[in-house]
Amino acid sequence: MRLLFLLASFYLQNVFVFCSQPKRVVDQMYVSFDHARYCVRRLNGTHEIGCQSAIRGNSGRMFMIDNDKEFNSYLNDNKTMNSFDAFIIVLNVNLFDSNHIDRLMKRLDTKLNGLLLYLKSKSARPLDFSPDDQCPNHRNSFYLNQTTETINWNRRGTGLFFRSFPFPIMLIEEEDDYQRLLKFYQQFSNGQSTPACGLELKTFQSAAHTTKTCMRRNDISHSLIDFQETFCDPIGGLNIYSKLPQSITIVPDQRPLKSVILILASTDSFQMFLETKRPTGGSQQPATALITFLALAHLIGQEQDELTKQNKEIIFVTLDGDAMDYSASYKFMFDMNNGNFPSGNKNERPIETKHIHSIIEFQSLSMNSELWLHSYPSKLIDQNFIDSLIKNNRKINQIPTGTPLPPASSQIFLQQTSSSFPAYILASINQNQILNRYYHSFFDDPSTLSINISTLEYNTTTQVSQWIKQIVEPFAQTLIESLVGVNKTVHIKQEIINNLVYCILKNMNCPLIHNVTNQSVGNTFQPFDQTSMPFSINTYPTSITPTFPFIQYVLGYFLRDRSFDLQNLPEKSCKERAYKDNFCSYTFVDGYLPSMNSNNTLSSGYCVRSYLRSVQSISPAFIIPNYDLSKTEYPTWTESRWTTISLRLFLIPTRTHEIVTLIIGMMLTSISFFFLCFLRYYTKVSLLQPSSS
Amino acid sequence: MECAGCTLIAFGVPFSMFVFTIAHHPFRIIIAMTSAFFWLISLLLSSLLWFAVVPLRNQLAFAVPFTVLFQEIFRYLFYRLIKKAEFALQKAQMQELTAKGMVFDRFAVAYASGYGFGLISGTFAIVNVLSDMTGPGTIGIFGHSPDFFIATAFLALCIILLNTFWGVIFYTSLDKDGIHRFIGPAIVVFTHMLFSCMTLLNRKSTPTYSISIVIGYVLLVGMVIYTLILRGFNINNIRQRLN
Repeated sequence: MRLLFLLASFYLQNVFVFCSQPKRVVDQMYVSFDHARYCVRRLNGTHEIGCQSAIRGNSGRMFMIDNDKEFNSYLNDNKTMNSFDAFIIVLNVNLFDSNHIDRLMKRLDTKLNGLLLYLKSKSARPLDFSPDDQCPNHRNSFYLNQTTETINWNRRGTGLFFRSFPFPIMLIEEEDDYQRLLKFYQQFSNGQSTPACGLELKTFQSAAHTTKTCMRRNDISHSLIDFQETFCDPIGGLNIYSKLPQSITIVPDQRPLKSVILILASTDSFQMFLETKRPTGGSQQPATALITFLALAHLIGQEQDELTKQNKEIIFVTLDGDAMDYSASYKFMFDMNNGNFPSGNKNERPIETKHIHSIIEFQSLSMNSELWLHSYPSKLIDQNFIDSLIKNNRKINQIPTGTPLPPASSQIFLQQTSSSFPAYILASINQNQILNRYYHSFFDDPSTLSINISTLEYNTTTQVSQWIKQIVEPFAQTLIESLVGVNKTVHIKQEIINNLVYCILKNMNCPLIHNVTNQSVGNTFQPFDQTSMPFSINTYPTSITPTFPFIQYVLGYFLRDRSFDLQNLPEKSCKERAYKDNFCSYTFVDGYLPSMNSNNTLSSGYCVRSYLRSVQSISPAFIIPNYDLSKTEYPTWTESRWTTISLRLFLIPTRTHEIVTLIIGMMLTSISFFFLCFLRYYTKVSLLQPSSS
Repeated sequence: MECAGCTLIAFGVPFSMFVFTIAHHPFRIIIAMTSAFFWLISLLLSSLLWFAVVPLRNQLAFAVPFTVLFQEIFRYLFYRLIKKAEFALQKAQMQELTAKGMVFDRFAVAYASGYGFGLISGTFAIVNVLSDMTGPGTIGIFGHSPDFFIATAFLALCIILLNTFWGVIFYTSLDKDGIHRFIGPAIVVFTHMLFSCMTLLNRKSTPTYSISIVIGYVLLVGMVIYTLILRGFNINNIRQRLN
């Protein structure tokens, strides 16, 4: 009765703002798991992938399977299987591969209403876990129509990410969530008569069928309702590029042929199980490559006096969206082929294929003792460059140029330009294998780089930051040697790499980003305090992700015009310059000490001049008017929208209990009905007669 | 399915009562609705009191007696309202109204008012629990008794029926002269307080619902008998009526 009274008062308490939270019966019926990861729906031109639940959630009897033995005995247990209509199988994540899933789906058929994976503890994570295909991005690769043998780069890949499941799949990775689940399961699953535990998975996705259908539905506006409902969004974020501001070719000057070197890195990855507030993975791919990329940018910025003496320009480009069939690279090449690269200013001479000297890419860098350099095509590569790279860094091995390229954005650059320039890919990928055991999964976290994330500080020197320093310094040295001809040893302060590792892998709201931005931009990082850089699929319209501002400002600062630093412009004239100059951006920042020369004694900030451009990176398929989205020329990936995600545990009432309650109710109603009916027609009780008032 | 069952248990009998005693009589419907509204105001006042006394918010045993008192006060206030309406109706042209069939039957009005009070009281008692029952789960994961839902439904039914008879006893007692004017309301208040405080026993984590349910239904039988006595029934009358 206590609950009843509180519930009655609750109705009226709604009027009052400061009411204390009353307890509801529903809190005593359901156990909620708030940190579960879930799998979502994505679509492309011809298929849908991922998982989906019914709009009210999928519920069923919970059955826990911990190892192979229990798995086999469950599949052979006909009695349990026939006693319930719907099952939610709780499976150890070590058993999540296509063999087990196929057998389970075949045996249970429509009775399988959902799958919940669990990780027993942090130390019990599987040795490898990669839901990506064995040959990643094979749908739009350079080797699509060629007869070369396909190499299975990701041998551990299960391909489950690209399959479509008619039921929801969720994953719990916290140890105390697993303990709670186990406790309730063991408490309530003895025999058939006691009520059994049930689970409800709710991950309703709005999108269905294919991208073409979904985008068409997006555009349907019902005349009675003003706003349109969006079911899916194209994937894509921002491609960001920057270079030394001194070298800008303005119309009508001609850009010399083969004068542009592009340095590429990715800023996205995907994982089958995501949760918006939890780390996304992506430490080995793309975080390490991205940190190397930014450190190289700093070194190039540091040595800009040497580099501006010659006529080649180095442009640093980050691509967002390449994890799903290279959407960002296709967009980049589409812009280039249409004269839109670099974007933004019509007075800047566009860069075309003939101007590109070579492209260098950092891809999938894991902390191994060896690295490999892939290159293509053999007739265009500069063997001297490769030789001096290997001479400066003994860890690099050259892969013979005949072998196919691993999954990398360079493939699309070569494909769209018919291989008219050489591509060099530095990766932890040998002749036939990606060495990352957790390629494109959320297990790819800093612990795979031997980083203890809980004790990592802003300036901790970790093994991986030293490793990156040992790669990036010889690399910059080789670049400068081959461009300027000067044999110069270059050094980058270890502190800079430590800070980058901290900011990207632990806390984006770090002193580095506050030092390279003005106050209002710096404040936009406050909500992301203590979160690492998210490496997941971004969609357009771009959601509020801190990744792009971070890269823009850090890259822009590292490649800034250092001679401009000394001009010591006050803030007001910095802003005026920003209005007048259309090519470069001017920001008034506090300054990042490790990057500044020691004889600078600027106390209250200074104006920074840098060249920075950001372009949308959604696939050209969504930009070309009247493009048929079912064609495979360009990738057409979209991600569904969803609202609530929930995972609840409860007791399923026994059949007898339900039926008894219903029968009692029906009997009471019918008996009272007939009794009163009898009293009306066979007695003269005035109350029941219809005539009087 | 459990939700349907509990809804039928709690509202099955009142529904039949509605169909056969109130549905055909617009006047009784109005009385029932207005009576329900008075109950709502009494609930508002009790929750204002509960809200105001901040330190005792968790002590349900403090709030329950006051709620009972407020409800009974409003039952009395409704009685006064009906008295005024009856007086006004009598001042109007009674013959015309009688010809149309609108006779002021005091017993029916008392019954309808008690029914309205009871219906809204029972609804508030159970509707939240019913909506929580619509999910796939049932109570018990934290060790609560699995009979919670059935017990709630039966208690809600008991409250609805008890309120109906309390309404009749209250109003017919007040209409009589002499000692009945005090005994009737006193019995109503006393049994209401007894019933509500009995249900406070259900707050333990493994309560014995049978105590409060049995006592509730025993009280109900007692109220039915007292109503019949007040209306002047004895064994002979009943035999005559039924023939």
